[in-house]
Amino acid sequence: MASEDEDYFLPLEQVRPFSSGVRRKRVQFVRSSDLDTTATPTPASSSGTSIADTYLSIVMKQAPSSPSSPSSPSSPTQCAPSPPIRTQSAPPAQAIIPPPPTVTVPAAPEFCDVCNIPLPPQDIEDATGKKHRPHEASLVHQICLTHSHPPSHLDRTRQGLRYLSTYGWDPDSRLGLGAPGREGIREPIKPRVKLGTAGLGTGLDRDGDPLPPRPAPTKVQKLNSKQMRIKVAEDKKRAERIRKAFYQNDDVLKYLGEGV
Amino acid sequence: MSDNRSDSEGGARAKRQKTDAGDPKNNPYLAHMYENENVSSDNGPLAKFKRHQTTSALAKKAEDGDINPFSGRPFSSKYFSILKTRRDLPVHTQRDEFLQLYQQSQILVFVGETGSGKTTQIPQFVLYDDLPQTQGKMVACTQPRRVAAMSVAQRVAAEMDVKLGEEVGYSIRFEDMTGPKTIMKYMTDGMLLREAMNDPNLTRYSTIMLDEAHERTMATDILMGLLKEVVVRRPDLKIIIMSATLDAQKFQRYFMDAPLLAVPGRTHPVEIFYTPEPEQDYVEAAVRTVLQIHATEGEGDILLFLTGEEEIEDASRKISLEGDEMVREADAGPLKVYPLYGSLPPHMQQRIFDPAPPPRRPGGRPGRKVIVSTNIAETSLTIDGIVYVVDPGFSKQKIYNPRIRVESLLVSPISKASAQQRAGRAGRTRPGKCFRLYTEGAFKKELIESTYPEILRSNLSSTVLELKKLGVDDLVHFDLMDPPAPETLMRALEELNYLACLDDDGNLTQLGRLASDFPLDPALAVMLISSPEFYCSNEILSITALLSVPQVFVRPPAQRKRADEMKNLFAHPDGDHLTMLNVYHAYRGADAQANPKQWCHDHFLSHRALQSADNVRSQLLRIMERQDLEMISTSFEDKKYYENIRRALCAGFFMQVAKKDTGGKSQYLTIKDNQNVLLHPSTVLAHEAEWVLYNEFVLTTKNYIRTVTAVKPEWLLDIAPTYYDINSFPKGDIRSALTRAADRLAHKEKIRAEKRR
Repeated sequence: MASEDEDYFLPLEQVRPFSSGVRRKRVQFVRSSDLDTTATPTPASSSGTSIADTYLSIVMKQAPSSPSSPSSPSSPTQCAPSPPIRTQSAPPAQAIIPPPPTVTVPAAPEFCDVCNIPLPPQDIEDATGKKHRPHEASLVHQICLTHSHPPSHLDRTRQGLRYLSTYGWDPDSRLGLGAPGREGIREPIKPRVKLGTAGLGTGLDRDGDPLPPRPAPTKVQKLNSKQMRIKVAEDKKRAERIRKAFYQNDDVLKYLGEGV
Repeated sequence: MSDNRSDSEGGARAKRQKTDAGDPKNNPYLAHMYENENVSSDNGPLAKFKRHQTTSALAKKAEDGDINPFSGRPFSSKYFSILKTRRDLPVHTQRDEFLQLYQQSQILVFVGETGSGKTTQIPQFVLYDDLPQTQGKMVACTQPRRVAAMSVAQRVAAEMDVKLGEEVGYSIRFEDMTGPKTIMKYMTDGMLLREAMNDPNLTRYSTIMLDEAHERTMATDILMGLLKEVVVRRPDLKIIIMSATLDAQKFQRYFMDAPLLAVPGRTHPVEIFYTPEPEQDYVEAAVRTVLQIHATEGEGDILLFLTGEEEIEDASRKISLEGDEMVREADAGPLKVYPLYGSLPPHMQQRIFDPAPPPRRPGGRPGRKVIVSTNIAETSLTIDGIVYVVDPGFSKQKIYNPRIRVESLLVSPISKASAQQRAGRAGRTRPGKCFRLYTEGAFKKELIESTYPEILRSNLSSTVLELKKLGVDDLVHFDLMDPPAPETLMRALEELNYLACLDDDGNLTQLGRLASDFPLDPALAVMLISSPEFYCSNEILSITALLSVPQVFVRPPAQRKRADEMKNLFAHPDGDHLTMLNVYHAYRGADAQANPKQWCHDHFLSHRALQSADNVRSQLLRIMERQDLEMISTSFEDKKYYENIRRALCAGFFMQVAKKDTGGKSQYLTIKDNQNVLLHPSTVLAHEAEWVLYNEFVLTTKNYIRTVTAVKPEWLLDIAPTYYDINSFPKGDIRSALTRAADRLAHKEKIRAEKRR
């Protein structure tokens, strides 16, 4: 199985709720030859996509997702870093072909079709003996992926939305209305209330760039006699400190015997 | 209806074409339409004219002839004197170029700066080439404003030496000045849109011109979207898009790269000045700038742009006072100040065309006039003699917020295009100067490129209703130049659904179809249509008319107290709608009709507004009669007389209701949108009603609701049960109040049922 040689790095979904089981050598099982008998998904499939496929096959009982669940024997290759995600959706015939072919041709560097950078050769993992991070997890790859946006805030039960949806508008498409290719604005224009008679561009400098916010005018504070006394004393101390900083001469101090 | 020509053949043709989807040329019933396509019908001055093959030389000969080719009467002497000035207009030199492009392509984009004569001349060029009379069709030219449609039609009728309303006419909302002979029709863009609702292929027209397209009014935008579809169905229809600004490429791109013809306007260079620092108070800076120009600059009138009536009156007064002082102290030339804004009576608006005052003594400093205006002087009015423009960079703009369903007029920075347009006003007669009261940096960075078109700033409920009536169901892919935000469209669909103009699947209902026949907001239309159920259609009709015209109450700043006293004579304790109705009834009374002008003056009412309300009322009455809506009233002695009217108001305005807030004094909370509002100080509502219905939400420093009437929650539950579905309200004051009202209603029902037994 996938994690035969490495007992330390257990995929998260296989981690038991108690810690003792983590370091212990796992008890190995072999798959039943009769595929139909197992209803529950085997925990061996460690790849995220195969799990997703399994869930999809439960939720949407459609043909296309079913061949991927028996193809879980091919999961060792999927766990390995190199092949890009796209190849996993290859026809089920690949499941029969053993993985070695990809390993045997390290000379021709493969390019990831998402980020267009050469993929690291697979055998590096074995050479250093250290687990390599999958290419898909690299920062470059993640940045190049098409970004998915949070869904629109619109209330899906609105009658108006239903109408627009029947004519093919998708609130999450981040497109406005209108003929294809010439879509309009997505959000209504925001009204801004202007009060008073301040001229255009107040708060901007000569080039039209916003000025730094002006410090709020300091409030005049009234002090009672005690606070006043403290303040006077503080001011005196500060004045003394400043005077020292400016006029103090080390030589003079030495002479006076203070600076030691 | 679809064809105003008297011959029955023409009518039949129009009808036939509507049902025939294929190419009309293949239709044997229409063969007559094309056989004489290139043959002139008579032996008059146009005998040699071949449709869409004429030249300017040919047209010139006809224009110089003795007989008017359109009316058949001899030309008057006045005609020839106007003709001479017409030939001096910039567009005239490019008549041949225009005709070639017009003949070659179906759609043409025409750019002519203000003063090029495009609005008056291009339609006449088209008439001499398109010869719509031979086809039994008309040429239409749309204008964004009613006044423009009227005045341009008048001018063109004079230029063509025909009587207004015969060959040349106009059609605006609530007024149709066309006849069976009309071949040239000026109309508001909204009117053409209304016509399209009943005649989707616009079969009455052979050429349609959309003038002032750069203003991007709602109706022009929708029309452009429609015409894009109509030109495919009607290859014989020609379209000219006329714009005054340089964003013509945008129109070209939108109309499948239609050819473009540009005619230079007659403009002079304008020098532009900016302030080095932003101004702290733009009104004060504007006043100072005007006086500074008066003191230091040469002869020439000044145009100052400000935002609203109050600001304009205030600034005018200040300039006047200071100007007088300058005359006394510094021997400056006399200064005359004219305010200009939409709600100013026409005779006052007319004064802006008065010449500047003469010097006080011969050889003295020249006089000067100052016009302080809203942005109506930016595009719609052309005032000659302006040499200096003062532009503070603001205007009042309508903006709609679909999240709280409030349409408001807000003072906002103008756009760069708008600022250019304003500056251009200084170069009409000779080189001018434009003083911008902001920095160049602010111009570059603060101002948007061009003003947002109206369709992005408005409530779309009446537009959606119109589009549905026009048969446009796919509102998602309807090809607009600037499609509105999805949320705004959703709101409109939901409002129409609550008003029962659209069913739950978004199909037009019978009520919606009826409502779209009225040139009114859907809420008003629905209120009017359902008023017979409340036995008060006469009264609701009057109220609708009053709500469709400018404010009837006049409140001059000097006589506020007296004006308020007079208003109180008509006051009804239950609200402003009923007060307005009282005013209308009094105005129609014998006392007032003896001398209505004097009566209105005495009672601080706007005679103009009441007159137009009268006019609107009779127009709406005609539509109601056509739709077989019953005109009834509850007997005035019946104690339910006013209650019925208030109930009928709820039928249209149940979405504009506020409930008194339990916390604050005279604070109200709008239903569903939960906005804190106050009653507008102008209200006559005598008691602090728990529930009020309002006509208008005014967004200023405080949120006000204006024109309010007290209503009862029971009525709302009864009239609009889906909108007031108690389960849809969050727990709170409003929900519990509604629950109590529902209980009371159920209780009453029970008693009534028991009595019946």
